[in-house]
Parts: sequence; C-alpha cells; structure tokens
Amino acid sequence: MENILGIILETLFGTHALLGAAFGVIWGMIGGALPGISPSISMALILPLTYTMQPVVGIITLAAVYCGAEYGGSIPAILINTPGTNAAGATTIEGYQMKLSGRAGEALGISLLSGVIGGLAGLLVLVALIGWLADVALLFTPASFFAIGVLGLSVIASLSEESLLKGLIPGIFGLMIATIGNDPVSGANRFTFGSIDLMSGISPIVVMVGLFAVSELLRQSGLPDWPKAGTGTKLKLPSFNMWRKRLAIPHLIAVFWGTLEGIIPGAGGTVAAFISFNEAKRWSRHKEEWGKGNPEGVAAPECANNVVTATTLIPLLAFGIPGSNSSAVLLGGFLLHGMRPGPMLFVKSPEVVYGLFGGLFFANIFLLIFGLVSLKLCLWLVNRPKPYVLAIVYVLILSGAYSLNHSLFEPTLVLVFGVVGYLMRYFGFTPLPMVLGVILGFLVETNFRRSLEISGGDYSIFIGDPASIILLSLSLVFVGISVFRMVKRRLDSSRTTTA
Amino acid sequence: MRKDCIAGTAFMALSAAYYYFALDIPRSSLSDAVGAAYFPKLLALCMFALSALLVVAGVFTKPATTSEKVDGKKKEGPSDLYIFRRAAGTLLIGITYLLLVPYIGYPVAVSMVVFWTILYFHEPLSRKVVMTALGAGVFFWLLFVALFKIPMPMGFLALLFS
Repeated sequence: MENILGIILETLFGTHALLGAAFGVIWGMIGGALPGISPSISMALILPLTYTMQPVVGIITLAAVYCGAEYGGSIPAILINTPGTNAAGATTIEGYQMKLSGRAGEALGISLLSGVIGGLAGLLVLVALIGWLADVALLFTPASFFAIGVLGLSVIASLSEESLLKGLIPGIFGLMIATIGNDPVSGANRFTFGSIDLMSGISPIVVMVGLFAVSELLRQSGLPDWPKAGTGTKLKLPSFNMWRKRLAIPHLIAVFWGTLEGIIPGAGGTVAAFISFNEAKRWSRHKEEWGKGNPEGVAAPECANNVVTATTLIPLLAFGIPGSNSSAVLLGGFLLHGMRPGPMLFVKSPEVVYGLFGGLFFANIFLLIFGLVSLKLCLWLVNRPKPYVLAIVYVLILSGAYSLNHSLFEPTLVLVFGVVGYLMRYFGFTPLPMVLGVILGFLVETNFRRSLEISGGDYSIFIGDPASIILLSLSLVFVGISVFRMVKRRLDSSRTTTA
Repeated sequence: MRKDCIAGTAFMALSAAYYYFALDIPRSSLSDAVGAAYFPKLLALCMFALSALLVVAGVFTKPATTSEKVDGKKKEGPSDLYIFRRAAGTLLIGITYLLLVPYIGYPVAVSMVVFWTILYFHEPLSRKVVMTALGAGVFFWLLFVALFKIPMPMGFLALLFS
C-alpha cells in the first residue's frame, strides 16, 4: 500500500502530471461545451500531442479531457437545449426547463457538483475493484490473451443491437485493416503494395481521428449553425441542505448505474445517464416537478456520466477492452506510448496505472475549480460561430496527424478514414466496432497463432486453459444478451406496429 | 432497403479484392503452421458472407421502415446530394492543404485552411475572417513548431529564413 502511495505521489509531483490533468480538464470542458465535438473527438484531437509527453502524463491528460468533456457537455444542454455530448442528452430534459424558468445558474451548479461527485465515486469503485486483478496478471497464457481479444470483439454485439450485421461488418473491416503491414509472426509483407509507409501497419490513432473527428467535420458541413446562448448566467452551487434533501438519492442511483454501465463494455455514459434519469424520476418524492425543471433530473444523468469516466477504465485496464469511443481513444493513447492495457500493464507499468488513479483524483478537483471560474469562457465558446470553430478543428486534425510521424502520409490516411467513417455513418454503420477491430486485431491474431504453435496445432488449447474458457464463456454471454435484446426489441416493435 | 444493398455490395467487392491480394502473401520459411495468409483469408470469407446477408436482408426489408421514408413522406431537410457536395467541398480543402503544404509552408497552408473553411461554412468575407486566418497561421506555427518542436514542412518560407 505504501509502495502504491509512493508511486502515486512520485508520478503526480515528480512529473508534469498535475499540469496535464489541469490542461486536460480545460480542454475537455471546451470540447464538451461545443456542440458536435464529443468527448472522444476532444480526446482524439489532442491524442497526437500526447506523444510528446511522458507516457503517464499523456494518459492522465487524456483521462482528464474525458472528465472535463462530460461536464462541458451539460453547458449547451442546459443553456441552448443542445447537448454538447451524447450523455448530456438526458440533461437537456430538465436542465433546459430550469433555464426557461430562470434557474440556469442553479442547473449548471448542480451539473458541476454532480459531475465531481460522480467522478470521485467512480474513482473509488475503480480502485476498489481493480486492485485484485494485478495478481491475476501472471496467470495469463497466449490462449487467455486470445480469449481477451475475443471478449473485446464480443462488445461489438452489444454496440450493434439495432442490427448485428451492421456491427459485425465494420468489426471485420477493422480486423482487415489491422492485418496491413508486416506479419507479426513471420515478418512477411501483407497488403503493403510496395509502400514503405504501410510496412509498419496503420496506426489505430489515425483510424480513430479519421472515423471520429474528420467524419464529424464532414457531417457538420451539411448541417445548419448551432443556436446561441445568453451571456448573463452565473453559476450557483447547491447548498448542503439542498444536496441532502434533493440530490443525494439521485446521486446514489447514478453511482450504481454508472458503475454497472461502466463495467459492461459497450454500454457507456449515455446509457448510464438515461437509465439514471429514469430511475431518479421513478424514485423521486417530487414527481410533480418533473418536466418543469426538476434539479434531480440534472443531478442523476450528470453524476452517472462522470461515474462512467472512471468505471469504464475497469474493462480497459484489466482486459484492454475499450467499452466506448472515449475509452477507445484512451487505449490509443496507451498504444501510442508502446503500452497495451491488460493484465500485464500492472506488472510492466504500475506507475502508469497508479499514476492514472492519482491523476483522475486531481482531474476531478480541477473540474470543480475550473468549472466555478470558467463559465464565462465556456459561454463565450458556445456563442462562437460554427465556421470559426470547425476551421480550427480542421487545422488541429491535420497538424496533429502530421506530428505523429512527421509525415504527410498520416494526415492523408486520416482524411481517407474520415471519408470511410462518413460513408459508414450515412449507411447506418457505427464506427466503434471498426476501431475495436483495428485495436484488437494484432492481439487476437498473434495470440491465436502463438497458442497453436505451443499446442502443435491442437485447437483444444483454447478450452483447456481456465482463464481462456472463462473469458470465452463471458464473450458468449455478452453476445447472447445482445442477441436476446435485439430479438425482443424487434418482436416488441412488430407487435406495436400490428396493434 | 436500398442503402443496405449498396453497402453490402460494396463490402462484398472489398472482401473479394482483399481475398485476391491475400493470395499474394508470401509464405516465409520463418512462418508458423497457420501462416501469414490464414487470418486475412478467413476475414475475407467472413466479410463476404456477412455482406451477402446484408444485401439479402436489404432486399427483403420493406421500404416503409427505412430511414429514407417515414409514414410515406420523404424525410425533411437538405437532400443527400447537397449533403455529399458540402462534405466533398470540406474534404477538398484538406486535400488542397496536403498538396500545397510542402511548397507554401505550414503557416501559410494553415491560414489557407482556416480562411477557406470559414468562407465555405457560409461566413461572409470580412476583415475578421482574414485576421483569424492570419492569426491561426502564426498561432499554430508557434504551438507545433516553436513549442512542440515538430518539424512542419516550411516550403518557400525555409528559403526566406535560412
């Protein structure tokens, strides 16, 4: 324990981690406050810049962006009825009603406090649940690592409940992209077409920036300007009495659902926010206020989506499985610094894992401080004309991609994947399965082949290893639950249509 | 659903091309029992099968349930052609940047991207637009070149300052 505390203190005060956390929170708040710039886009934009930082500082910066963005998203949700992030969609319902009744400052204060409480509660859950996984690390074999990859890919099923086909196809497309470059086992060139740039493969970061940021930029070019907010709002934090009487129960509900949805890959902050909103409404003692600006309707979703910023790190750090767009970008940050999250991360880079815990704690403290003092800046940003914001975002994308490898090849690929992402969204595909495929392709293929090499071609190695069988069974459960939900939803919808 | 048929056909063509190129993957003497081409071929076959299923599902899905038509009415808002044209224009700005940046240099190219993007997003030409574009060129040069020490292409500017 003392050793862990020592690592945390050394990381926080021996590096620029605190500076990274502060910068990340501000960047995240700015990104979240701009409609159309989601937390994952805010993170993807800054991802290439973290390359120049120390690994732990880079990771803390990215995690802090996520924290800041989830709060930032509530600002336009409350002020202009336009959620800055998907998760803030639930906040608009009661938050905008509070604004209409002249209580915008109070709503923003509740959102900020709920975000900080959620972030810190999520961090506590993360520390409590993840500790024992460090001991499991040494038990893993190539077959188990292959099973981890399969578990990660099974997330695709839960991401594509509307149409399993439309989740699986981009997932396989991502795996195909992961095969480009030198074969990890024999070194043979695959799909390089004589290009030296392609020999080392296509970086997942390039794919993510293209799929998330460029495709959104292209999409925004066909949409009208976003609405403007007033400038006279002053943030007002709720009193302790108010918290005890009105907000404590919604916060408890949000911590429960945020934990559950964060741990389950594929669910994420948006689902947690909407479920918490719904449950807070169900358990509320002030049912007559719902729909007219109930503070509980702001507290529950804002707390839940910030709980998820920490609990989504559980599947990421323990198994290397990104359960949401934002954690996929965070995984990209690890890969950028030559680290692969998963059981061995606790053994190989404990300073990053424990440093991240400390960094997240301070990120939430910074969120409270900057949230209190930076409202004017956020209001100014919300009111910036869209053309100026998107022009700057475009330059950040092109410059950031170039700085990855000091080559024009990366920004070219970023634009290519931007077009791919844009077309995929047009045709109703979600980009995250493709990102999962690109990230997990190497892990799955390499360990599949290594396992067969060890077993002399005997496929029973995958069910002979205890960790592998547990993880593969878990994958089947995930897929089963998703298929069941999909079939149930289709049946319900066909019944409604018939009626 | 027409969109599913188009997407499915495109992915079928992609998987066929991918399989074709997978046949060219050389067999190395260092290779394992499975071989470097095993996974790509498996992926190509899976992709082909799933894409074919998508096409079939698209053919048998009733058009009324598609996003193209709701309750028999065409969707509101701009047409797909307009949306595609806008996206293509935005993309063209980025492509022009990539083509010109080695010659005109990073700060000038950044100013160009900012200037054209702002105008392209329906902002009228004004002194503010010009100043923002010039300011962005200087700001991003300071950020990436001076602060982060990224050797951005400087084009003819390198000659001026050498």
